Amino acid sequence: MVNVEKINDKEKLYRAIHPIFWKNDLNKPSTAAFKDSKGVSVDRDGGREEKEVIAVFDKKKPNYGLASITAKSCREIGTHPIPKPLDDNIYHAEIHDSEDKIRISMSKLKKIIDSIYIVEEPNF
Amino acid sequence: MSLQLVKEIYTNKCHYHSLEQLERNNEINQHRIKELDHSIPNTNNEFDINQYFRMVENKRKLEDFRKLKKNWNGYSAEKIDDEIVDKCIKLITDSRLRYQPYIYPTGRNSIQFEYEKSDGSYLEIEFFKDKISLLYTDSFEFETEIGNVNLDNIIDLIDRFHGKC
Repeated sequence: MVNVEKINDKEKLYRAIHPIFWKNDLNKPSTAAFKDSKGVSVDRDGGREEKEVIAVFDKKKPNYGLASITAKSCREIGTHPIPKPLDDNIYHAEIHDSEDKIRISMSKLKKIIDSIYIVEEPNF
Repeated sequence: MSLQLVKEIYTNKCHYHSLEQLERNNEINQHRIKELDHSIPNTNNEFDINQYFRMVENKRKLEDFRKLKKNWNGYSAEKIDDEIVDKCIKLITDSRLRYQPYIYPTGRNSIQFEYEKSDGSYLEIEFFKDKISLLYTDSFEFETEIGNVNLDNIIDLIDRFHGKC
């Protein structure tokens, strides 16, 4: 059962990457892929196998890439990952700049991009 | 590069990989050729010609950002304001801008320019409706983040990043 109160350090947080953000020459997305004024929406693994997470994203957002980052990395960068379960997605979470600020600073976003793991590249 | 060759590229008579995706529709091409007749730089410098092509591609990309609808990124992104697109087009077509950026829309109603060097140094400029923010990271990962930069200083900052000032 997923803990809706807290995200474990070991949990991976997944974000779909629209092809528009992909840098072919560097094989990574732009920081723009993680920019959101309402907090960066992610799906936490919540104890699921990665292939299960990939299958959900492939269905919801076909042709998008998929990136992951651990909750521990997010905390080390200084951002604040929090569970935000939705009626139709218990695994939904958000990454905020800090406990008091939602919009993530440019420098923290750069560190996030430098720390992510590319699970799937987008299909063009 | 002669104007004739540029026209051939734009009518797909000549293979040019960076424009292969850009140019598909012949009607659009004909329109662009008309534009090119007036704007092609009078130079044989390969760097300037490459930058010119990147400017044309960036301009096309920015015009496409106007068509992005709400939720275009799959995460409830807002539509990009025309005012921001206009500001960015004005900047990339400014003859003083020597280095064309990589350009991306964001999910927070902004557009960002990026420059990244092989030594790891990085410059990011984010254009909002009411402000311009900047992040500079040097090759030793020393960071500078500025919350609001004056538009008039942007070209100078880009030149400085490329070591031209």
